Order: sequence, then C-alpha cells, then structure tokens
Amino acid sequence: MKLHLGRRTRRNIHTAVLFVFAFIAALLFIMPTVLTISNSFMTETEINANYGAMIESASADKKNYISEDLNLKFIPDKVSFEQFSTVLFKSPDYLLKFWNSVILVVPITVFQLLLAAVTAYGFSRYRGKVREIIFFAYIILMLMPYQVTLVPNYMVSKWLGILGTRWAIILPGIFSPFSVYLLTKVMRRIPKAYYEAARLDGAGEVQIFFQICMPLCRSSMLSVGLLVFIDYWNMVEQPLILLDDETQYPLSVFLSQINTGDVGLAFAVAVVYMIPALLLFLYGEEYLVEGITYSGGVKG
Amino acid sequence: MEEQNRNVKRRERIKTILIIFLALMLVLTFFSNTILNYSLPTVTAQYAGYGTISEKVRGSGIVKANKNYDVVAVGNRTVTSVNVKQGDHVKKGDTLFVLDAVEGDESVEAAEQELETLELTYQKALLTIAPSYEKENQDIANARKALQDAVNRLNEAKRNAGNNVSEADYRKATSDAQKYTQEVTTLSGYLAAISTGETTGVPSKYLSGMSEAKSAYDAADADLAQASADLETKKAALTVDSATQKTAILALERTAEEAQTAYVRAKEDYDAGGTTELQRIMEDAQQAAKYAQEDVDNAKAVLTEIQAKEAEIAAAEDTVSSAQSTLNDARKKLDAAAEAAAAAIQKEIDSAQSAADKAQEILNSYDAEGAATDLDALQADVTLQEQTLQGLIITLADTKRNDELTEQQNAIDLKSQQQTIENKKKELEEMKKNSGTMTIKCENKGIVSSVNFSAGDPVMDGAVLAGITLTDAGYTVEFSVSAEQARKVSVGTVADITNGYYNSDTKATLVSSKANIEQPNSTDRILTFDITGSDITVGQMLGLSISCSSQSYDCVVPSSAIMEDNDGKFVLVMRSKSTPLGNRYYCSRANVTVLASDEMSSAVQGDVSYSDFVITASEKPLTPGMQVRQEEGT
Repeated sequence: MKLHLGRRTRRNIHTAVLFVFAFIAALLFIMPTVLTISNSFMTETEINANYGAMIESASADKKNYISEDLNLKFIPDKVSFEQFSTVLFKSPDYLLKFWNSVILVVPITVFQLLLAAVTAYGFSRYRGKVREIIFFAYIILMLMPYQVTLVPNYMVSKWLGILGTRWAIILPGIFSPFSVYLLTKVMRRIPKAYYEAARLDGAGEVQIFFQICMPLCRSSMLSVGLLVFIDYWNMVEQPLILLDDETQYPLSVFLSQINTGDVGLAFAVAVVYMIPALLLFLYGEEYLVEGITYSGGVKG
Repeated sequence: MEEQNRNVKRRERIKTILIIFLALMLVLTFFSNTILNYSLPTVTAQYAGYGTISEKVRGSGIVKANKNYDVVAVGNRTVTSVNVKQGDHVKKGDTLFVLDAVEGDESVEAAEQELETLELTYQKALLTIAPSYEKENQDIANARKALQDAVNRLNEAKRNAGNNVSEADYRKATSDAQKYTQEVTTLSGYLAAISTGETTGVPSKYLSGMSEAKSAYDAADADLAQASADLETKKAALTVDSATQKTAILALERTAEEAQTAYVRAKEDYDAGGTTELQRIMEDAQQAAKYAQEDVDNAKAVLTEIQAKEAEIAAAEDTVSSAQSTLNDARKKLDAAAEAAAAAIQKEIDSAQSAADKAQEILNSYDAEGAATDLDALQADVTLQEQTLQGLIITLADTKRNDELTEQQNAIDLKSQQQTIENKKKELEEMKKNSGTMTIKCENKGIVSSVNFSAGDPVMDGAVLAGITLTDAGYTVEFSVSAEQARKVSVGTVADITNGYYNSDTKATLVSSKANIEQPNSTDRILTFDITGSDITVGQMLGLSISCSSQSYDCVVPSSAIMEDNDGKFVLVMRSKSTPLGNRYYCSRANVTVLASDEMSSAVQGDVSYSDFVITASEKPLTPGMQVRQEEGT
C-alpha cells in the first residue's frame, strides 16, 4: 500500500529529519568544548583517575591512576575550583605561556592586517601582467599547506639569524598570503566610481586608501583579523620548530603536549586559553559572517 | 537601527570583558610569583660541608655522698637541746645534742640486780662433784679373778684327764659315731624299701639291674592283666556253653524225629485211608516235621558259633597262662635284682656299723677315763666368767663417756654464763657512766644531712639522732650510658657541669666505667664521677658532659636537619629547577646514616654530598617533592 502524505506533512518530516541530523552534528561539535569546561571543575585526583591511562607513558614509574580505560566524564564528582586556583595563582608558568601566545599572536595579526590591506589595495587598484603573476604566486602560496613552507621558513630564518627568536614566527606570520587574497577579493568589489569621485575631489592615493577603501573594508578587515588571530592562537608547529627556548613557547604548545604534562591542570588551562578567542569571536561575530559573505560575493 | 545599537552595546560589553580579562591576566602574571611564594612553605637551609665533630657524652645523676655516719643515742634519754640544723657544716668535737637522763630511770639498779643473780648462778654451777669409778674397778678386778680361777680349774681338769685319747680324737669319734649311726639308719631304710619292692628314694647306685627287672615285671604284669581281661570279656560273651546247646539240639532232634514219625504214620494212614481228614493230618504232620527239622538246623548253626567262641576262649586262656609264666620269670629276675641290691646295701651297712662301733669304742674308752663331763662344765664356767668381765668393762667405758660429755656441756654453759656476766658488767659500767646529762659530740668533719629529733623529744637507746655527710670523703655522681659512648670516654677526664652556676668551683672527674650489674642483660655501662667543690649538696641533680676526641668529616649537617621515619634517618635537600620566572625550589629526600654528632651538628653519610643545600627548618611539615620557598635573608 502506498502512503499518500500531504505536501505540508512531507515538508514537516523533512524538517524534522534535518533537525535531527543538525542536532547530532551540533552535539558532536560542541561535545569536546562542553567536556573541557565541565572537566575543568574536577579535582586533579579525579582527572588523574579518569584520564591517567592517557599519560601512562609519562608516569610509567609512578602509576597513579585507577582506570585502565579513558572515562569521558561530563559531571564532576565534586565541583572544585582547584584547577583554576592552581593555574591562576600557583602556576606562573602557565600565565607566562599565555602571555607568550599574546606576544606572538597580536603583532602577527596587527601587522598582517596592515600589510595585507596595503597589498590588497595595490592588487585591487592596479592591473597589469606583473600584478597578475604576483597575485597568482600569492594564490599558489596560499594553497600550499603550511608544513610545505616550513622548511624554507626555517632556512630563511637561520640565514637571517632570527632562528630561536620570536621573530622567526612573527615575520613569516606577517607576510601571510591568505589575508591578502581575501582582502583583494573584498576591495575589488568596491565600485571604481568611489575612487574616481574621491580623486575628482582632490584626494591622493593615501587619502583614498585610508578614507575610502579602509572604511568600506572595515568588517572584512575585522573578520580577516579574527580568522588570523584564531589561526595563530592555535599554532603548534611553528614554535616547536622555530623556537629553541621552551620558555618562549605559547600555551597552545603545552595543550598539544597534554598527554606528557600536567593532565590534572590541562582542562582549566584550556578553558582559560579559550576565553580570548571566544570573546573576540563574540565581538566580531557579525563582521566575520559579513566579511566572509562579502568577500565571496559578486565581483564589483 | 535599534538592532544596530544593540549590537554595538553588545560589542562594547564584550570588549570590556576582554579588556578586563586581559588586565586580570596581566595582574595575575605580575603577582604570580608573589602569590606562589606566599603559598609555599618557608624553609631555612644551609650547605652541608666539611666539619669537625666533637662528640660529647651527656648524662645527669644525683649527687651522693661517699660516706655518711649516723649519730646514735645511748640509753633512754630526753633531748635537752639540739645544737645543729640540717645543712650545717660541723667539725670534730662540735656538740650536736645534749641529752638528759629520763627521770626515775631504774635501769641501772635493775642491771645490778640482774648481774648479782647471774654471778650467783655461776658460782653454783662451779660447785660440782668429780665422778669416781672405784666400785666399777673393784667389780672388774673380782671378775678377772673369778675368770682366772675358772681357767685354772679347767686346766687342772684337763691335766687330770691325761689319757691316750686326745680331745681331738674324742671329738672326731663323737662326730664319726653320729655320722655312721645315721648312715646305718639311712641304709636300713633303703633295705626295708627294697625288700617291699619300693625303689623310690633309694639312690640309683644300689638299683643297677633292678630297674630293668622291675620294668620287665611291670610289663609282664600288664600283659597278664590285659590277657585276663580279654579272657573275661570273651567268657562273658559266651552265655550258653556247647554242652547245653548239644542237649538242646538233642531235644530238638527228638522232637523232629517224633514229628517225622507222626508224619510217616499219618502218611501211612492217608495212603491207607485216603480221606481228606487224614490228608490234613498228614499235611499238618509234614509241616510240623519240617519246622522241627529247621529248628534243629538253626540250633546246629548256633552250636557251630558257640564252638568257635569256645575255641577263642581256649586260646585266650593259653595267652593268660603264657603271660602268667612270663610274669613269674620277671618276678624271679626282680627278686634276684632286689636280693643283689639288698646284699650291696647290707654290705655298706655292715661297713658303717663297724665304723660306728669303732668310734663308739673310742668314746667308750674316753668315757671310761672320765672327767669329760667335768671339762664341759668347767669350759662353760670359763666362758661365763669371760662374758661377765667383758660386760663390766663395757659398762665402765660407757659411764666414763657419758660423764665426759656432761662435763664438756657444763664447761660450755659456764663459759657462756661468764661471758654474760662480763657483758652485763660492761653494760652496767656504761650505764653508770651515761647516767645524768650527756653531750653528744661530732666525731668527723662534715655536713648535717638530717636531724631527726628536736628538743624535748624522748629518745630510745640506739635511735639515730642525726645523719652527717662526711665532706672529706667526697661526693659521687653516677649515670648510665651506652657501651658505644662509654668507649669514647677515658677515666680521668674532667666533665663539664651543664647545669652548674657560673663561677662554681664544682669539678667532676670520671673515675670509673663499669658494667650495669642491676641489668645484666643490658650492654649499658655506669660512669662514676668524683665530684669536688664547695657548693655541692647531696641529692642535687647534676648534668655532666664529657668531650670525646674530635674528628673531621666530609659531610656535616645541622642536627636539626636530620629526621627519622620508618625507613630510617634522612635529610631534606633543596633542589632547584629552572623556570622562565627564575629558579623553583623543591625538597627531595636523602637517606643518611649518622656517623657522629655533637650539640649542633652531625656527620652524615648517604645520599647527601657536602655541596647540597640541606633544609634545617620549615614553617610547615614537608614531604619530599614539595615546592618550597627559601626564607628571606638566608
């Protein structure tokens, strides 16, 4: 027997199925974050008891965990601020690593935005064969995985004599092709009439750039800045390879090495580390959507 | 527009939060070390290093005087005055107490009376009579004389008896006569026994051949008895003899003959008459004749058996007669053997009889000479006199021994009485001397350690009035130390007084180190110090410390740094760990063995080296691995 359902009913079913899939997907994505936050309120003992097996290699001589398997626990046995207290008040190392992250990421973001804006302006304003070749090179470079450029980065850093210093991370960071590409796409959408009107009004290139182009690209700049910040806030490979001194490592490196370190504090550290990125995202959420949409829109 | 404003406000709030967060992080970072340091336990530490340890043996003990003497009261008195108090320094001749006699004290008079009584008793005891043994001696002399007389009489009698038969022969003859007479009696008994055929009790040497004859006789006798019994049995079995049976058969034969005749006649009649009745008669007669003949036959068969038995009986009778003849032969042989034995015995009897006769002859001849009876009587008299004399001598010896014992006992008693009298005299003298007021003086230089009576108190004889410590004899302090410590000190070392007064002249010198005899199982030793000085008091606690030889060690740490738990002694060592914010300090455990120690420092050996930073004190209890903070200024 064949079921004859109404059009409306079918649509409702379709919606319900989509909702279920979306819900499951959302749950999968949000679960690690929820787990991190809830586990940050556990005591170190409880963390060791549940995730001790994970750090067995680190404590082979001193087995201090109970469960042989990993226990994904969402509800702490006893809500405790011990981890936060330890991280914020008794562990200057983590705070220092946090500031290491800030010291690396902030200059990269700021200078990259500045440089990218200027570069993108050039690409959008001037056309010619050379520009096309350079822009193509930028695109090629952008498409390459970071790990491919790591070796040349290392060699250049060594040649420049900045290997082992923060400049070895900051300088390649500043000259990233991604934001140039994205901003070029945005700036090309600005109608030429705006520039011509400004020029008729007697504005120079610098004036046009700062007073016409930049305000029009503000949301895109912010969204690009946010993406760049989050990208570099999570960097792991660069510090590991380009920095010698562990004291200069950002906090992201510590979190990547969680199974060999202080697993009892990792969740609180992760939560603390999450806050700036989260706040920035909340701050620039609209710009981010807007900027990405704008850059992907119809070329003007 | 409104939504845009809301977004702006929201962004502003988020920005503010971000700034606050960063500011907070900044502040926390800035103060992170400070906060951390305040939360860490503060410790003081110092480097372990080379050093010299002068070990000291310490101990404390109570000061004891080497010599004391007690002031003792003589006689029952009353204390009139006490001239010293506890702690006074006294010298020889100082008056300590004045004692007065108790009013109405009758003790001197009582003692005099007692002495008098004792002397009287002694005098009485001296008056004793010496023992005399004249009567006993006289009795013994009389007894000796009587014995001598008896001996003389016996000798005289023996001389008078002067014949060929000596006394020895006489005695032998007497015993021979008895012996042979006895032998004759015994042999006559054997003879009588043999004549009755009885061999039990007769020695086998007389029975050669007789035993065999006797057994042969017994066997023949037994055979005869057996044969006779057999014959009797067979005779008993034969109730009817053959003669009677023959007579019976004859009678039966006659009856059969008569029946046959009757039958023949009846047959003839029947043959003649031929009647039925005749025939019947004939048949009856025939039947009767037949039966009669059968009876005869049976009787004959029985006769045959009887004859056979009779033959057996005849044979048995032959056997009996044969056995009888055998028995008779055996009897003859037995008689012959008995005769032979009797003859042998008789021969011995004759021999013994002749010997007995011979002995009797000797006896008779002796008797004939006479005096033998007198000799026996005289001999008995001599023996009696000897016994009497011996008895008297033994009695005299016993009497003398008893008298001597009594004399010795009396002498001892007298000596004792004499001694008692002497003692009493001395006592009386002393009492006489002490009657009245008495002053008790100090006999040696010293310090009064105790005064036990005060003025007006009555004192009994021998009561301790006061104790005096002799200062010249010195003082002693003793305490116990381990054997190991005792080895480190040497006799003659002067010890430091740890609880003495400044400028005190008290001096303690080690004079001996000896085993603790009160605790034989302990290895501890007792150190004895001679104490000199002017301000020493008996009973005072004196702390002493003796320096032992000093020695250099590679690793010396403060004694306060050494801790101990179940795993033994250890020190906590500060280890540094480099961090971006400077060095962090952690305490780690180092197990050690203490080699030597003095008041401040200890020499150790183990997981700690001379350059380690050893924690000496902490404001909180530490566990190894704990992060610590070093105290400011150290």
